[in-house]
Formats: sequence, C-alpha cells, structure tokens
Amino acid sequence: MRKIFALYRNELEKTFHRATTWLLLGLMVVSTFGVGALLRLGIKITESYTFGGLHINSQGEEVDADTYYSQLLEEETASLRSSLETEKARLHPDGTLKETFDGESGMGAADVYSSIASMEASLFLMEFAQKHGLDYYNYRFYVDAFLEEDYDFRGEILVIMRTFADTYYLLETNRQYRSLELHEAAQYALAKQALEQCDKIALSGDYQAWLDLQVSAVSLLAGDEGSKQAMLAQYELLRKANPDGKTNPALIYPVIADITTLERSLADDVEYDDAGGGNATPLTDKRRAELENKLAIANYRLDHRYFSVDSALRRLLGVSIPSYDLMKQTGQSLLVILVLILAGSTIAQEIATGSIKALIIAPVRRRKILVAKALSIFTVAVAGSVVLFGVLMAGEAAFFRSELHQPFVYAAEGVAHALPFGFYRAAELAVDLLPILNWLSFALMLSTLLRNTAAAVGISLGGYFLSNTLGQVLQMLPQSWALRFIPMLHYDLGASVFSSGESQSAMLAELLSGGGDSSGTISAGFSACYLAVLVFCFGLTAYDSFCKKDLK
Amino acid sequence: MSETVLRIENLSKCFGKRWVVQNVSFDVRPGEVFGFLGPNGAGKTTVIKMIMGFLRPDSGRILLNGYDREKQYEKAMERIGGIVENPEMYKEFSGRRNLELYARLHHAAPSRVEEVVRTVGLENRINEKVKKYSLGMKQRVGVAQALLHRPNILILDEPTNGLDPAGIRELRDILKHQAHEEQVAVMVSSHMLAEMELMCDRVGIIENGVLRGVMDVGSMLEQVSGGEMYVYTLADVPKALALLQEADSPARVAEQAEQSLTLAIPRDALAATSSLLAQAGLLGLQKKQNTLEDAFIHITGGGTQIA
Repeated sequence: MRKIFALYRNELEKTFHRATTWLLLGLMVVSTFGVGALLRLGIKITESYTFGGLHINSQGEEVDADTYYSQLLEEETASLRSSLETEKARLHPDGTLKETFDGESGMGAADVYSSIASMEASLFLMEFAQKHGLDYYNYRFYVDAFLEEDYDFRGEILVIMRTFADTYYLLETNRQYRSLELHEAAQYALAKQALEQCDKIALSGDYQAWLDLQVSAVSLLAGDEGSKQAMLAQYELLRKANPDGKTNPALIYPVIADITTLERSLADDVEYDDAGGGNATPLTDKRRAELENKLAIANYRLDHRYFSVDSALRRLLGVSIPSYDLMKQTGQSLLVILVLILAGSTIAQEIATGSIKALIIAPVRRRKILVAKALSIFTVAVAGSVVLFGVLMAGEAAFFRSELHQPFVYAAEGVAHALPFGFYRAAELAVDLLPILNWLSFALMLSTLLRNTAAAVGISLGGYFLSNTLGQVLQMLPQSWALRFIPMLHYDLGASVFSSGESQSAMLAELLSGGGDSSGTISAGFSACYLAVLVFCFGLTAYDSFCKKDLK
Repeated sequence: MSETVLRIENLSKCFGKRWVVQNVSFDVRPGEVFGFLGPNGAGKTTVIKMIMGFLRPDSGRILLNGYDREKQYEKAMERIGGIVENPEMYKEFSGRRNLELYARLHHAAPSRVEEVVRTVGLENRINEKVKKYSLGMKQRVGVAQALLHRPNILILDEPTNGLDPAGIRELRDILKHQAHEEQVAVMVSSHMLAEMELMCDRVGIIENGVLRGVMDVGSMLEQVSGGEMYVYTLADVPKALALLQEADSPARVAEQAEQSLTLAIPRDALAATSSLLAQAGLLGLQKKQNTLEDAFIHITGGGTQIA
C-alpha cells in the first residue's frame, strides 16, 4: 500500500502539473456557468421578442417595457371607451336596437347588451389596473419575471376580477332595460361586493381576504357542483400551502393539480391526466401502487412546501427550462473529456516519451502502477465533480430561482420519504461517478492496448460522443430485453436515480427498498451492476495488456 | 567479495520466430565493472531489458540479490538501479523534481537527492526543466536517478551517449568509485570500446544472441593477441615475410603495410624474430599496446561493425 500511495501521489502531481487538466477544469467551470447565463439571457431575449422585441410606442419611440405597457393601456382604454360609446349609441333609451337586424330583433339587442357588458367589464379592469398600478397585460408574469423572487399576489387580482366584472356588468346592463330575476339579483349583489372587495384588497394587500374572495367567486362560476367542490378543495390546499401569500401560487398549482388528479384517479380506478382526460382501462395493482406513491410524494411536497420552478413553468407556459440539467450535462461532458484525455494518454504517453522506464525499473509491480494511475485520474474526476457541484449551485443561485436546498422526495409503498439535501447531492455525485469511472477504464484500456496516445484518446472521445448520440436514438426504440445490454443506455445513471420524474422516483425507491423494476424501463440497479461489470472488464483488459505483455 | 549479486541463467528471448537471445548465462559480482559488448542487434539491450523488467524471458532465470525476478519481483528490483537506452524523464518537471518523484518511490530521504546531484555535478542546473537539458545533462540526471536509492546493482545501457570527454571521464570515475569503493556490481554496455577498456574489470561479448565469452579484460587482450604486438619498419617487407615463413617463426602477422609489419610475438621469440628480420633491412622496432577493440574484432570475426 505504501508503494501504491507513493505512486499515486506522483501520478496526482503529474496530472495536476499538466496544462490540459487545468485548461479543461477551467473550461468546465466557465462553460457550466456560461450555459446558465446564456439560458437566462435566452429567456430574456425570447420574452423581449414575445412582447414586441424593442418596445416601440405609438409615437415611434423606443421605451422600456413598463412605459410601453403603461402607454398601451392608456391608449387601449381610450379606444375602448370610444368603442363603448359607439356600441351604446346602437340602442334606443328603452333598450331596443336602432338598426334593423337580420334575424329576431330581441336576439340582436341581447348581443349588443352582451357586447356592452363585456366592454364595460374590460374598461373597468383597465381603469382598475391603472389605479392600482397592476400589470394588466401580464407581461411581468412571463418566465424571466417569474424567476424573480419578489412575488406580489395582487398581480393575480385582475385574473379573478374578470369573473366578477363580467357577471356584474352583464347584469348591470340588463338591469337598465329589465328587472333582474331573484338569483340574478343575488349574483349581481355578490359580484358588486366582490369588486368593491378587490379594490380594498388591492389597496391593503390583505392576503387572507383575497383567499376568502377566491372561495366566494366559485359560486359565480358556471359548472356542476362536483367541479365547484373540487375547486374549493384546491383553494383549501392553496391556503394550506401558501399561508402568507409570499409564494408564487404558480409554483404550488402543479402540486395541487397532481394531488387532485391522483385522488380522482385512485377514487375512480381510472388514470386521468392533468387535462382531465384519461385512460379508461381500470388501474392495475402495480399502477395503483405507483399512483399511490406519486400521491404520497405530492402530499409530502405540499405539506413541506417543496415546490419545483421547472414543473411550474412547464405547466404554466408549456416550456421547460431544465437549467440544472443543462448546466450539469455541459460540465460533466467536459469532465468526461478531461478524464478520457488523461486516461487515454496516461500509459501511452509515458511509453512514447520513455518516462515509463523509471517506473518499470522501480521496485513496484506493474499492476500497482496501473492502479495508482487509475486512482489518480479518478481523484481528478471526484475533484472535478465537487467543483462542478459548486458551480452548479452558484449558477442556479445566480441565474435561476433555486430549489436546490430542498431534500429529495421519493415514496415507497405509499409512504413518502425525503433524503436530506447534503446526503442526496452527495449520493447523486457518487452515482454520477460510476459512468465516469466506466469511461475512465475504457480509455485506460485503449491506452494500454494501443500504446498510442492519439489513437487511445481519439477513439475514446469518439466513442463518448457517438454513445451520446446513439443513446438518444436507442431511447426511442421500444424497450426490449436485448437493449438492456447496450452500454450507452446506462450512462445517464445519476439523472435516472435522482430525477423528480415519476419512474425515476420509483427507481430510487426500488434501489432503497430492493423492489422490482416498476416502470418497464431499465432499472437503476441493473444499470449500476452493468456499469460495474463493464468497469471490471475494461480494467481486466488493461491489466492484461499492461502487466503481462512486453514493453519493447 | 565474490558473492554473485546478478546471475543470469540460460536466458532466451524470441521475437516472433527469431531468437534474439539464446541461452545466455553470466553473472556480475559486487565490486566489479562488467562490460557487456556486442555488435548492433547482438541482443545486448534485450538482455538488459529482461533484467530490468521490460521484457519477459521465454526461458531462463534472472536472480537479483538471490531473488528470482519473476517470482519475487519487488524484492529482486529493490536494490537495482539503471538506465535503459536513453534516460527519459518528465520533461515539464525540473531535474530536481524528477529525482524527488523517484525518491518518493524508494522512500529515499530528500538529503539523498542533494547528494546524488553533487555526485553527478549538476548543482547549477538541477532546478531547470528537463526539456532544456542537453543529452549529456539528461545522462547525468539519469545516473543520479539510478544512484538515488543506493543500489547494489547498477545497470547502464550506453551511459556515455551524449557526454563530452570530460563527462565521460567523470562518469568513469563515478562508476569505478561505485564498484571499487561502494562494492556495487556495475554492468555497462557501450559502443565506446576504448572507454570500456578503461572502465571495465570484466567483459562479456555477445553476438547474434549468443554469449561468446566472459573474461577479465587483461587476460582477454593477452589471449586475443597470442603475445605482445610489435611494429617492425622494414626496407623489404616481402623478403621479411619469406624469411618468417622459411624459419617457421612462431610470430603471427597481425597487420601488413608497404614498409611495416605488425607482428604478435610470444615473449621468448622476440630476440630470434628480430635477428631474422634484420636480414630484410630492419629500420625500426616499436612495441604496440593491444586494445579491447582488437580483442572484440578478433572474437566477433573482425568484419562486423562495433555497436
């Protein structure tokens, strides 16, 4: 051991003396951080184009977004007011239509009432937004703004006010020309009171009053009683998950929607999707168990207020910004490239330059030299992973709202558990090292077999990039027994085990509980064993080539 | 001391279908400098590479300090130092750092690095990167590396390559000191036969993978010449040759020129031979020193270029 340790120290010193090592580690840091920055910049640019690119107002001047939308609101308010007057002018004081209408005259007048009511409602909302400085166009609620942490729940008032305003102004318009039915009068009074309440909430910022108002709005909605009850249940969950109103409800909605859908699925024994549709076939026992696990996870997240920004964005805007994954993939790719260069050249280069002679003459068996070299490169991989982890954390914190400090939630047998943050990230780091070790042993094997640095590094790099591409293609093929033995399908091990997706959570549960593969995909346990066998085979070939054959 | 520290027994090595070393046996004792000579492709470096662990013998045995190199590798290699072909080091490191890395493998004290640097006379340049070194300087660092862990067997393959005359002399002194004062068994292969003659106590000559002989340098010179060598300057060389033939002289012609003959003459026949050649117009007589090159050419058949 003493000799291996001495060799290991020497190898480590040689490795860290190489410019390539520092260059690629530096590149890894810069690229990882850079990808995060570019992603964030990309979001900004995309939004900028979504909202008119350069904000040019009606006078042809370039202005900032706030000014632009403020001016736009003023202009549209004036325009709508004018349109409203025009629309009102179509009616006699008694409410009959001035012009001849194709069809039944009563229907024509009702259409105008409806149009006037809609315009009145919109005008009211526009003036309300102007009065309270609210974001009428929701432009601040796009991805980039969403990633900002300061959330003001008042931004949502306009959304819910639309329901009240539509009801109120429709009944108000009708009231001018006919007496209201009893239930209409009640709705009218409720909507009027709600609008006054909105005004007070917008002024005071009373979050509890806002929640109460949302509950009362449910009765104004069209729909069956079951749907209304479901909505009320959701509001209760929202109240529980966000008692102080500081959390953006968009973060909470995916979890609430999951809980609602899963509870319905389990109750009806049919799997519903988020949109309310579903697979009509009854649940199998296995699938039921999986859904119970999902429900346990969702409830656990809600109870502990663990919410995912990415899930929220995907649900809200239909876009996914897997910033952590993209940054991690970039950094890990460069780390693997570094490992391949080091491992591919470690033996071959020493043979080419002749510096291997001093090692051979030393009183150490060649297998110890091989082990020391592999260990030193693996140490670089470990060190690189730790650095990468730090960069990822910093990048997430700098560019995206980070929920990284939350534990990892998984479920087994319907009971949710959480892995503490430090443990989960350390375990993820360790899992990610197994594929890296696999590449290391592959390049080391080529280095000893070919004894040519360019060939060993070139082939191993080619293999790495090819496997990334082929892996994507093979993922699309139907799962089959034979596919399980294709190496490139196992290299995404860390992401498989620690992804927030359903099947992956099941994988972790399976790893921890020793249960079987639950998703029909390759299990994480199988992948880990398969990669370990590959590492052994590559290592054995390297051993045979370096330790048993002559060095001419 | 006469105990053998390096013993080679029936060593053979085959590359493809060609046997490059066949049944080579010799041993090296502490306190001697053993020269390993042979023409190009004779198998010298192959033998050295087998001793040093680069190549595995197809048959035969290598014993280092009594340990079988195949079975007790680490113990066998514990006290062996050397250079195979050219000394190669990590070029991006300084000479000192290279030595320190090697010292770590042998658990040698840092002070030992300073000692060997002084021994090879590289104090002023040892902190420079190896890539800036000349071949001669690399050879010095290589020798320092070989001596670092106080080996009792030192094997150097062409150690004088790239050294200037002063460097060669210094190396000779170092190796002789190691052998004669430190009782190290030194094995050296070199193409500089004159240098080997000055350096070595014993030599082994290998040709076509077969060891042709191992003997003391002094007795080898004696044996090769068959006596002492004399150069006769003569007025009539053909007549002198005829006289030697008629008299059935024991003197043997080593070299013939227009006005001179170089003869190997047994000591007791010098007077008679000189008297006989006086009849052919003897103009001068000079004793010639036998060289290792003569011996080498004699043993290897003469026509082969020396490696």
